Formats: sequence, C-alpha cells, structure tokens
Amino acid sequence: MEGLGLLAHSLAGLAGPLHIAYALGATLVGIVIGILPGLSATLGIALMTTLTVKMSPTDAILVLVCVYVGAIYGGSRTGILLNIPGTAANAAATLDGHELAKQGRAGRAMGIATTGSFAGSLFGVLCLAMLTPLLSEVALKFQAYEFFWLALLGVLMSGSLTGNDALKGWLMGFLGLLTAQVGLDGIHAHERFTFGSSDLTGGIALIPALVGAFGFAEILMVISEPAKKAAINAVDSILPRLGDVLKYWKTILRSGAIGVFIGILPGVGEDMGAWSSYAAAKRFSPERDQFGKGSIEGMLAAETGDNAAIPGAIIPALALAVPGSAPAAVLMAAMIIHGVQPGPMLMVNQPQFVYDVVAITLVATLCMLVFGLMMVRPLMWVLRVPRAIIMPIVFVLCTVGAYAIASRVFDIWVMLAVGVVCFLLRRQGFPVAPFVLGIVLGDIIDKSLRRGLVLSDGDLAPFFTRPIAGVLAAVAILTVLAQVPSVRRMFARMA
Amino acid sequence: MRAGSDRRIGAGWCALGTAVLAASWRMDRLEGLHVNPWSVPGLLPGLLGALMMLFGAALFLRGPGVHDGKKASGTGRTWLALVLCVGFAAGLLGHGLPFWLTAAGFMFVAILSFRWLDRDAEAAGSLGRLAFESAAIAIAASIAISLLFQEVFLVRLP
Repeated sequence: MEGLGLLAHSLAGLAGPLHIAYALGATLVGIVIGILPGLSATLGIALMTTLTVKMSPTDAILVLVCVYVGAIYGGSRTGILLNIPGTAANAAATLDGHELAKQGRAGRAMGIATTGSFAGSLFGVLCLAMLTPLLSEVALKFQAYEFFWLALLGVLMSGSLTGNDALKGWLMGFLGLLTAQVGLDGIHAHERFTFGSSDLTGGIALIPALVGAFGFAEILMVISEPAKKAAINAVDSILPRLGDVLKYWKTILRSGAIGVFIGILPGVGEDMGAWSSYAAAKRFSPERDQFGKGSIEGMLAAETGDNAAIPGAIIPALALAVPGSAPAAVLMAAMIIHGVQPGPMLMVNQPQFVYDVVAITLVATLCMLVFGLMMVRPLMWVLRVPRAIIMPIVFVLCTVGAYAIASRVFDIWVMLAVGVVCFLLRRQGFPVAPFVLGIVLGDIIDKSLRRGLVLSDGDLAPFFTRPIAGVLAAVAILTVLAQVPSVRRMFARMA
Repeated sequence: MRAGSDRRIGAGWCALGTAVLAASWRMDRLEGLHVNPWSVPGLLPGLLGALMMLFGAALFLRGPGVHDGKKASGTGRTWLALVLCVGFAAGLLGHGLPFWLTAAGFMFVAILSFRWLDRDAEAAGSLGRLAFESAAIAIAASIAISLLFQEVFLVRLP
C-alpha cells in the first residue's frame, strides 16, 4: 500500500506540462536515434546525459528513460522498412518484420511492433514496481563477497551472451575493468596507471569512454562501408489490432516474462530478450513454420521481449547498482552524476526516487504509443536522410558530449582513443558491451574484492561458503566452463 | 587469414596482460603506511593482467573461433574519416578558434567528401550543388548545436 501511495505521488509529479513536453520530446529524439542505423540507445542516453546535467535528477532521468524506450522501439522501423535493425535489440523483429514489408504489409508490421513494444513495456513496468523493492530487501543482506561475484558475473555473462565468441567478450570485459582502475584507487586514493599525468589521475570518465565506444567507433564502422540505395516500400494502415492481442495473449505474457528475466540478468540486455522470446514463441507456436516468413506472432514476441527487457534491466541497476544492459549502465551512471546512489540502500534512503523511475517508465511507454500511432510518415523521412550528412553531425555531438560534463579537453582525447580501439577490436569480432559493463563495474569489483579479503584476513572461504555468494560463484564458474567445448560435450552426455 | 589474425591478437592480449601484471607487481604496496596487505592497490589490476594473459593465450592457441567481426572494407574511407574526425577533435578544438566555426568547417568537409563518395547511391547532383548543400547543412547544424548546448542547456563548448 505504501508503494502505491509513492507511485501515485510520482505520477502526480509528472503530470505538469513541462514534464509532458520533456517526455514527448525525449521519446521522439529516442525514436529518431533508434531509427537511424548506427546510433544506439546507449549512445543516445550518453549524449543526452551531457545535455541534462543541469536538470533536477527526476527531470534528467525522465528524459533519459524516454530516450531509452524510444530508441529500442524506433529501431524496429528501420528493420521493417530497410531490413537493417536500427539497434541490436531489433534484429529478431527484423526477420519477420521485413518479410511482412516485402508482402506490402509494412504498416501492419509497424502496428505489431507498436502493440508488442507497448505490451512488453507495460509488463516490465509492473515488474519494475514489484520486484525492485523485493530485490533491494534481499540485497540488504549482501556483503562485499556477494557484490564481488555479482559484478564479476555481470561482466562474464555480458561477455558470453552479447557477441558470438565468449573468449573475446570476456577479454573485452577485463579491458573495461582495467580501464576503470586508472586513476586514484577507491580505498587508499593511490595513483594507478597514471604515468605522472594529472589528467589520468582523475580516471577515465565513463561518459567520454561510452561516447567513444558506441559513438565514434560506430561512426567509423558505418562510414567505412559504401552507402547502398535505400528502397522504402509503401505503408498500409499502421493501427495496432486488438485481435492480435487477444489471439496471441499467451505469447505476449511469455515474452514479457522472458524479457524481464533476461533484462534482470546482469549485463545481458534487450537483444537477448528479443531473441530468447522469439525462440520460445517459435518453440510453442502451432504456426512455427511461418517464423522468418512474415510471422505476426514471431514479430510480436521479439518486440515484446526487447521492450520488457528495458524495465527489467533497470531493476538490478536500481536495487543492486549492477545494470542489466549497456543502456541501463549509462542510465545508472547518469543517476550517480545527479547525486542518486543506486544500490540496496536506495530503497531505504530514497524510496520516492525508485517509484519516480517506475512512473517515468510508464510515461515513456505512453509517449512511445503516441508516436507509434502518429507521425509514421515524418519518421520515415528520417530514413531518407543520407548517412553522409548524419554521421559528421553525430560526431560533432559526440565531441561536445564527451567534453560537456567536466569541461576537459582530455575527455575528448579519451573519446577518440576509446573509439579507435573499439573500432579496431570490433572489426576483429570483439563485442563492445562487456567493455562498457567492465568500466561501470570496475570500482565495485575492486572495492568488494579488497574489502572482502580484509574482512576475512585473506581467507578466500567466505567468497564460496556464504549461501548467496556460493550460488553466485557457482553460476560465474559455470558461465565460463559452459563455453569450454570438452565441458559442453560432457554436459551434453550427462543430459 | 582469420586464424592468423586471431593468433596475432591473442599474442597482443598476452603482451598487454604481462605488462599489466608486471606494473601491478611493481605498484607501491603502501607498507610505509601500514595498510592491510590484502588492500594493496595493485591486487585487482594484477589479477586482471593474469586473466588477460591466460585468456589471450587461449585465443592464441585456439585459432579461429566464431567470427562476427565486420569484414574489413573501405580502407580509404576509414582513413579519411579518421583523419577528419581526429583532426577536428584533437587538432582544432581547444586552440582558441570559435566552436561554431571549426564545427561548421569540419562538417562541411566531411559531408561533402562522403556525399561525393556515396554519389551513386544518393543520386547526387553536380559537385557545385553538393558543395552548396553541404555548406548550408554544416552552417545550420553548427549554429543549432552551439545554441542548443550553450543557450538552452547551459553547457560549455570546447
């Protein structure tokens, strides 16, 4: 009951015209970012973090969550019309969405994307409201040992699941953790890897590194490929149909639950939410032969799954300070910039903020629905703007975004260096998301490891014998072992 | 070719891990301050260095895995983008020139260059028309970005 009162208070606080204008504007910006291939939700949130630095925490998070929800939704448009997923999260929906477009039913596909995204987000918001307080309560029992394993598990899972090669994913995660160690250490304020540079003493700031990894690297990836002619099919009616919801309600509920669960897993993200929901829908569907050929159920499952993963990814960011996805990692960093400290104590110290985030996600979902039903043709115009025009403008935004938070030219150099390194590594199949998770979680892992060892006087046993730490340790070790071919074969024989 | 590439990169990770491990080992253990030996600053970096060595060696020994890396193409375009972006961000910004002017100059050159390279896909007009359009877009975008950041969101520009 107390939670409902706090939620009502948060919703009332967002009902003013300025908040509605922020929400609508930010969702539209998010949808445009999602539509433009090469621009990701993570980059959008990172750039908007720099713009919102002077706003109040609630207003800033309102803008950032709206960009997040809008970008994940907007990416489906590009997938449907051009067969290029606007963001990685929309790749699963593209399989059937573009097939529908080729059959002259692009509008129908967009309507399904809107239905699935709205249903998935609503389901996720419900879970966000119910699970965040519960998880925070459990997390109050966590000590350094549990936080060490949880953060390490985030990096390992992200490495295993966000690329096609776990070994490369883990190496990127370790590189991110190492990057976070540059500067003054969090316990003794001793300089590490600064090489006498006063700029490096302040550490590698998260936002410039993120803008480099997701912005500059992506610009180089996109611009290095010659442009192809874009052919956009005519669009039929885009109105979502109630019949789809009634016919596929089981698929929507299942995909919502899968999306939220995948979202909660540290560091995994929306794309896995979409693929897992798609795979489950295909397995249980009587129309499974239609999947990949323009299946309405398949597209509904994928879009429900990726949008449900958004609130899912915010749950551990708020309750544990361990984000569920790369965009949620930036969102968490933005909260810290605005003086909000996510983690188990957030529910104790600032319970209103948790419900503010729930209300904000609900508002973002409603704004997404508004733009999903309107502005179809103006948004399609965005797809016609040549990338040769967009990418240089985005690079200028990246430069300003890297500089704006601390007004340091050094941060522009960080953005450039991280961008070039990530571009070169991506070309060799190294995923970027684990690197970002590593930067975000580096401080927690470092402090938790050393505090745990100090508490146990160097005894490793509590890292494995405390009940929750033991479970997390087992999952982390299994995550690594499951990628070893001989161990996989052994598991397969046992099964 | 990919196998060779993965082997080289695996060796690179091994070298980086070794360097990190060595630097962590040499890092001050703050014994003079009598800190708890389990809280020394080089502990996690040293472990990360060791893990990089181990996993880099695994990559070196394994050979080619599953690759989702983009096939390298458009080397000339990549170099052009790199030179323009790094030249603008590291070479021009922060050296006293007005932001709107440097940003407009960068965007004009970059937009014109890549639109010219993409002219087949874009069905673009003559070079003169492309130059005029690129200049108009660059100036408008530069003024809009400057006003948005400085006047609306009160953010300083480099």
